[in-house]
Formats: sequence, structure tokens, C-alpha cells
Amino acid sequence: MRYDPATVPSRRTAFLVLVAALLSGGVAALVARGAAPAAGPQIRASDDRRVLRGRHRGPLPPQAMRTFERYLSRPVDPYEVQREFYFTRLAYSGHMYRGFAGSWSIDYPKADRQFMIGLKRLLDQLDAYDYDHALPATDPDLFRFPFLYSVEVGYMALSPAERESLRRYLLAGGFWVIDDFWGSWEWANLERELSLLLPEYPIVELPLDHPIFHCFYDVEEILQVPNVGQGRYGGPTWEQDGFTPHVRGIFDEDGRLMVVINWNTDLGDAWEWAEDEWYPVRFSHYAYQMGVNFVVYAMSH
Amino acid sequence: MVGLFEFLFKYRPALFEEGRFTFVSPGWMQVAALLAGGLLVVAAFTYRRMGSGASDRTAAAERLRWLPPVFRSLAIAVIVFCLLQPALVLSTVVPQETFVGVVVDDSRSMAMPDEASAADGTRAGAVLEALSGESGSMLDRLAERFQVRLLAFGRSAERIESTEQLRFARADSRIGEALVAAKDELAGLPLSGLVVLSDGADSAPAELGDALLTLKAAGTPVYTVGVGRPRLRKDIEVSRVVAPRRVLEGSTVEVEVTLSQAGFGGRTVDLEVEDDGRIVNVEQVTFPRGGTAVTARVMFAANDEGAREFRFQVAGQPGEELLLNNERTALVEVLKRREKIFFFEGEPRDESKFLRRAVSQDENLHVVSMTRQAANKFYGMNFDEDTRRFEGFPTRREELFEYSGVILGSMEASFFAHDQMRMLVDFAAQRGGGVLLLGGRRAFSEGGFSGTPLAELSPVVLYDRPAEQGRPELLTDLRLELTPQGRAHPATLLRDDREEANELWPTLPPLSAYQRATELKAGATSLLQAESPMVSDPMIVLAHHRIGRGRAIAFTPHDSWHWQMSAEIPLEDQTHERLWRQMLRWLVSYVPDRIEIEADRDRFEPGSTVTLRATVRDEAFQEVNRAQVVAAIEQPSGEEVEVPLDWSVERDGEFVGTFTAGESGLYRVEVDARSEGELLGVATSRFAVDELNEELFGAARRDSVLKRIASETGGRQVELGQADRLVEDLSVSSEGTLVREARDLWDMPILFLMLIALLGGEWAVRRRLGMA
Repeated sequence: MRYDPATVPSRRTAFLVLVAALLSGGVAALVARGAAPAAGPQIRASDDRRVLRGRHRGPLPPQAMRTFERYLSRPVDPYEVQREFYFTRLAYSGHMYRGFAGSWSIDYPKADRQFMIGLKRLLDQLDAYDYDHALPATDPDLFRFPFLYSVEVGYMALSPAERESLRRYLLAGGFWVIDDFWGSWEWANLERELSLLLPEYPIVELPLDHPIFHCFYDVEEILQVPNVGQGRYGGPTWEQDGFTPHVRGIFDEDGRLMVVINWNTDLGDAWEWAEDEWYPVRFSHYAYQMGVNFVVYAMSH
Repeated sequence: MVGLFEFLFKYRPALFEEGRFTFVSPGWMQVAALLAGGLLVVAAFTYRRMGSGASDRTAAAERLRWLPPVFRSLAIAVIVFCLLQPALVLSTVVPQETFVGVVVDDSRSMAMPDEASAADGTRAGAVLEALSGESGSMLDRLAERFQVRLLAFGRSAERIESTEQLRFARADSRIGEALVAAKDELAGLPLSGLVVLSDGADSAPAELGDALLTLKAAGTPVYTVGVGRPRLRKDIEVSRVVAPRRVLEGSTVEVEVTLSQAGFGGRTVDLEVEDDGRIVNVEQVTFPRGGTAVTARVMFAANDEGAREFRFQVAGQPGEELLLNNERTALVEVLKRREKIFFFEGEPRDESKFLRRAVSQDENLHVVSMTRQAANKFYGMNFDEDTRRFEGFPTRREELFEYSGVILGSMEASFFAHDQMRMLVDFAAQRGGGVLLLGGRRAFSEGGFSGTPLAELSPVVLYDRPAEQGRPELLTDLRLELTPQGRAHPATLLRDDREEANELWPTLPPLSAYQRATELKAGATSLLQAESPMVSDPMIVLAHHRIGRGRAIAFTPHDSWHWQMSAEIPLEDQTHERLWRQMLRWLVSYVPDRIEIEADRDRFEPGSTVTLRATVRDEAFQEVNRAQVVAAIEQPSGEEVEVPLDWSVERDGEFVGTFTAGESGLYRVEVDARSEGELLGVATSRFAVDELNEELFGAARRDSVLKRIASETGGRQVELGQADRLVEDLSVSSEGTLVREARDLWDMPILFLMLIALLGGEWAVRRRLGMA
């Protein structure tokens, strides 16, 4: 067959087609993704999904958090009703944790909801929001909720913006309960984070005669609360090298307790699995007592 | 008016008041008068006959025909009256047989240069000229008829031989006491009266009434001669300072200063407050154009413990006549003690947590709290060995009344027993405590307060809200604004500068409230309000009113803690702390203690008698009359004097004693009250003794004082140049050695005027009728 330049596309034409295809594909992709706005945090459906799956990296923009919260079919919108108390969970940025980076959302939202059921029954005068309520540290609304709860802080890696907001929150009068992290490695991570957050305030062991152990229930002993797996199957109560449970705290210069750290223990799992017939009731019992005391203390001191 | 009367009736009304009217004509004259009367009747009859004969007169003329005989008859009556020799019988003093005391004000205020009649322009100069000047001096005129005794007075009155002994330098002038002393000095002499020459300045602490009663009872009329102008031309005076006697350290002291002025209307002056030589505040005061006095509220912080003398002064203005009255001092005891406040909260709330935190660093406030966490489960905080511990709300008065203030949080009325609610009302009304009602979903109307004793406490009008209505709706986005009263109230002073504080309020983050409080009770004052799209009227945010001896305050929002936590508020901002510190200090200010001791004033002149008044109550604040109360007075020299105080009988629980303060300086009184040997309590107080220059305040001539003295003792007020009148008035006095004297009245000008008018009138009518 004779070479006919009219029927065979030239190399130049092929190149142009390729460029055109690439360009149109790129434009289509951009349109499909909704071209990026010039300013402000970007909200993308993929963010929400990543958050839902706990695979979000980096600081979570408040708008994304709101979108994410909508996925959690709560019968009552936390911002429609006005309550005195919201069990607010801190959505923080973190390192990779067991393959994903959403360590803040461990046990969320079941532990939170289940804790609220118990809390409302035990503190029947408390005007509390019944469901879970998570907020990123950079959300200005965080300041409307002076009680904060966090888990798995061994993987926490706060961004400068989160750190600044959280520091302000705590010094202004916020109260932060940290729970469910184990062993010396995770402690070292938290200690480093706290040393950046509140460098001038030391972490101290809370003695058992501290009012936080007696403001509602008299807690006479610090129990190690195991995670659900080990609790249900009667395994050891510790994880990693965290053999001894500790309750530590950070006080401001006026002696006000700002941060309570529950190390080598997992109160959240004990709330979350309190209804499980295999999970030892003494741990749930203790976890609720501690949780109620934290709330009473936070709302009175 | 008196002058016209005197012209028509020959004598002043005073003489008519003193004298008795009579006719002095012989008996035949009176018979003649009867005959004249008979003639008059005949004349009238004749007139009538004459008149009826004419028929061509008009109807108008017919009506006038009665007038000529009436005029003629009246004219004859006047002549007859004169012929009967009417006279005024007066008791007058026998010349040189009675005495008159001339009492001259010898105080410093007499040196005021506001008497134009004197050569040197001063009051003193005018007095000296009037008393013993060249022409017709008062003393000479008096001496023509009386034995004159000259006295000078300051605090009291003493005899002097001549006016040369007058110095016009005494610091005090106590006019009432001086007059009584003068009367006593001249006791036993036939005294016609006392003549007092004064500007009316009276620095006596006691009421004038007692002295006047003594003079009245003794029948001594006092004739007052006013010196000086009734109004200064150009002067500014700090007339009154109303300051609390005791405040907590670090509190904002609110003082009411009244400034009077003459000739400075419309001018703005600086009112300075000085604490130990340090200026702590300067308030600009503008005098109204029309009025004379203006009251300024001055606020400043009392930061140093102890008895502080705050000086309030206005710099002298150009042309001001008297500068010494431009300042006053007030003694305020700044206490370092912890006022106990009981905070009863119905549910765990951030509002109560942050409120307690805001005042936790305040060394003068001790907030004990009891919060309901669950049904019948309470969490008490801050109880210490000094405070009784109880679960829930106190059931005994002694438990509640040991606090100075009570804060009631979000707690429904149905929680309380009726007696507990009554006790809380009594806490304010009888114990004199402060009750702060906080907003919340279970407070006020929303907490069912309406129709219960708790409704009495609320300064806002409550409405019935049945519990079936469920959870009250939250009114959000309330931006607070000050009411006119709030703009000047110490509780709203969130910044040191008043203007800055007033501008701050609307910029604070908005709050929310469950209370639909839009109507104030009668007598209540609103300090803060907020507009809400959810209610038509402005919402009352902060209001207060008095309940018996105490007060109740309402603060309706439930989330003022946002001002501490808000992302908009800087960390170092102290707005929230200051709001609550001030609010709670206000709550417990002026709350009485169980045992109290007070001198009748905070400052005295040296040598004054100080009356100490103690109030003694038991733990339930019931007054105790059977107590042994002793006041230990520490004098400035350090010497201590014990003064036992006795039950006053006039009031329950009141014990009174007196003490003469000789030394100048600061005195400290500690009172110790015991009942059957058991100590009920102790209390302390302070007062200062110093030269006060009291008479330089209200330095213009006080006519009111002079008039009162004259009218209550039966004397009269006369002017400085009216020596004749004074002599005449004294002569007809009913006191002293008297003789009767009849004064003719037939030649009173009014009689001649009447005669001319009647005869002229008759002539005019007759002409009209064609009879002339």
C-alpha cells in the first residue's frame, strides 16, 4: 500500500489531538470537581467521606466538619436546640494511626451518645444535649462549649492554628478531658503536644483526695479500664507498656484544673460497650462515675 | 405692704397685734353719738319722701337714688367714730427699767465681704457701724429706753463691755445654744427681749427647735437683725457629700456631691476627689443655667485599707467671693474583710461556674455555693469552718442570715417550702441582705415564681406560666444597652472611665435569656435592657429595687459567661470578672451587721459631744434589748476610754452613749455586746475630730433661720438700719417692767380718706341725679 499523506494522520496532527484530549480532560476534571475557590477552606465531598472513614489528614476545616456532622443523622440539630451542656469531642489533626489519621473519632459517635444517656440519667438536673457533638479546634464555636473530650491523643499532631485556638480555649476557662491512650510512646507524643500547647504549666498527678474524685461519686481507686476487645474476652487490661492507669492534670496559675489526662485507661470503650453483656460491668460502672465526676467538676470549678 | 399699712393706719400691724382697741371719749359723747344715729334715721326717711315725688327720672337714675343717703350716713358714721376717740392701748416698757440683750455673732463668717452698706464692705463692719456708728446707732437708740447688755457669741454667748471686744474670728456659731446662754446670762433681770445680729449661719449639730422651745417657754422674744446678703453674688460651694461610711477594699465608691453656686450658671468646673493627697478622680460638673445646685455622682476605687479621708474640691473660680467652702471631706472606712454570699443553683450551669470563677480571686468576697446536680443531690462548695454546712437550702434563719448576700440561680419556686421562700424575703426585708436573682430556664416567671413569696423579690413584674407550657423559649441575640440610670450606676462601670464603660456595653457579645421580663415593678430601677426581635418591648436585663432594709437585683441573661469564653474577647480582658465583682460587691454593700456602732456623724468639731449608737441583734437578726454594751474609744493620743451604752428605749436593740471628743484626730470605737455574759459580737467604727468651718457653708445670710427664731419666740426680724422700729417693737413687748399707754387712732389717714371719698361720692351721685 502506497503511502498517502492525505489518509495517514501526520505526527503533528496526532500530537495536537493528544494535547487537545489532555486539555479537555483536564477541564472536564476541574469542572467535575467544582473549580477551586480563590480563598477559604475547600469543602469537598471526598473530605467528608474521608472524615467519615476517619482518613482525613491535616486540620479539618470547620465547614467540612459541619458537612460531616450532617451525615450523622442526629434526630435533634445541636444548633437548633439550646442546651446548657454539650459533650463536645475535639476533632484534631493527627499522625497516621493504624493506617489512617482520624484517631480523634475512635468510638465516635456511639461512646458519646451512650455516655450522654447515662449522664442524663445520673445528673437529672443537667440540661444536656442528648447526642454526640464534635468540633475541630479551629472552629470559633468551640468557645461556646467549655467541656471538651479527646481520645487516642498518642496520634495527635496539632497544627499551629489548632494549637493557638486550643490554648486560648483552655486559658479562657475551657476544660479538656483526655482519654484512651496507652504506653510510654503515646504519652511522649501527648507530652510533646502539651509542652507546645501550654509550655508554662506542668503536668501533675491528681491525688485521690482531689475534689474531681469526690464531687459527685466518691472514687476511691483508679481502675484500669480495658478496651472492648480485651474487656470482653478477659484479656489483660493494659495495652502496649501502659500497665498502670494514671489520672493527671494541668492547672493554671490560679489553681484551676484545665486538663484531665486519663492515661493507660479507656473510659470511652466502657461507655460505648456498657450494654454489652460480655463487657465487665465494674469497668462501665467506674467509667460512668469518672465521667459524671468530670462533668460535675467542669461545670462547677 | 407693711409700709402702706403704716401709712393708712398710722401704726405698724405689729402694734395692732400687741395692743387692745378702745374708745376713750367721755360718756356724754357716747350719748351724743346715739342721738346722731337717731338723726340719721330721720334724715334717711326725709330723703325717701323727697325722692318719691319726682316722676320724670329714668330707671337707671331711679336705682342710684339710694346712694346719696348711704354715703351721707357713712360719712356721719366716720365722724362719729372719730369723735368717740378710738385708741390703741399698749403695754410699753418703763424707760430704763427693763433690759435688752444685744447678742452679736462673733464668728468668722461675719468677715464675709457682702454688706455694701459698711465702709469696709464686710458684715462685721456693717454690724459695728449699725451698733455704735456716728449717727443714730442702734445701741444708743436702745439705750434711750432700755438697759442694754452686750453679748458676743460663737459656740456660746458671753458678756462683753463694748463692741471693741468683738473679733469676728470664732470658728463656730451655734445660734440656738448662744441664745439660751444669753437668756441664762440675763436671768433674773426684767428682760424685754434679745436682739441678735447675725448672718444666720448655724453650725450646731443639734436641731434649733430645742433651743427655741426653751426661749419660748421663758417668754423671751428674740428680735433678729440679719446681716449680709441673702444670696452671694459669685460663689461655688460643696454643700453636701453623701458617702458610704464603710466599703469593701477595692470597691467602687459612689459618692453624691451637691454643689451650689451663685453667679456661675452654665459654667463647667472640675470636681476633684483626693485620697491622701492623690487625685483619684476628676468629674466635670456643669451648673444649670436656671437652678443653683447640682448633684454629681462621683465614683472612684477605694483600694487602700483603713480609714480614708476623701476630699472633694472645686478649684476657686475667678471672682469667687468665698473660697473656703469649695471643699469638703468624707471619712470612709475601707474594710478588708470577706463578705459571705450564698449561691443557690438549681442545675449545673456554666453561668454559675464562671460567675464563681470571676470572683474567686476577690479577697473580699466569699461565695459559698450549693448546686443541685440531681434530684435531692447537692454539691456544696467553699464551705469552711466559719460557715455552717447544710444540704439544699437552709431551713433555719440563723443559717441563712449569716450571709450578707444570696444569689438564686435557675431554681424553680416549687422546690422551696413556703417557709423557706418567706425566709428568703425576710433575708432582704428584715436582715437587710442583698438577693440577686439570676436568669435561667427555671427562674422568675419561667420558674413559677409568680404567686409565691419569691415574686416579692423580683424587681420585674412576673406573669403566670403554667408548667404544662414546657421548656421556655430562649430569646437570643440580645445586645445590651444601658438605661439612663444605668449610665451613672457603679455596677455598670466596666471600665475606669465612665464614658468608655458606657460605650463598651453595646459592643459586648450578645447574650440570651429565657426571661420575658419587660415590665418593671413600681419603685424598681432598670439599669440595662436589650432589644429582641422576639419580644415587642425592650427586655429588662438588670434591675433592682429595695425590699424593706435590703435590696433585690435581677440579672436576666443566662450566659454572661460568653464574655469570658468568647473568641471575640481577648484573654486578658477583665470585663466578665469586673461585672461580677462589682455586682456582688453592690449586692452586699450597706448590708447591716448583727452588731453595729456608729457615731451620729463622721466628723466633729473639737469639744463636740459625740453620740454613739449601737444596734445589737442576735443570730436570727432579732433585736436584743437585754444586753451589756460597752464602747471602747481609742483616742488619737492612743489613750482608751470606755463608754457604757444604754438601751435607748425608743427603738429595739438600740444602745446609746455620749462622749466628749477633745483631741483632734481620728478616733476608733470598738463596741462589745454581751447577753448574760455570752459575747454577741463586736463592731468597730471611726470618726474624725477636726476644725470643720461648717458655718462657711451656706454662707449667704440665712433668712430662714433668722425668721424661724423670731417667729417661734414671738420676736420679729428687722433689717440692720431699722433701729427705730426695733426700739418700738421692744417697747411694746409684753416682757419687762410695763406701763399702759393709749395711742390715738382718730387721726389715722384712712379715716380722712374715707370721709373725703364718701362726701365726694355723694356729691357726684347728686349731680348725676340733678339734685345738686
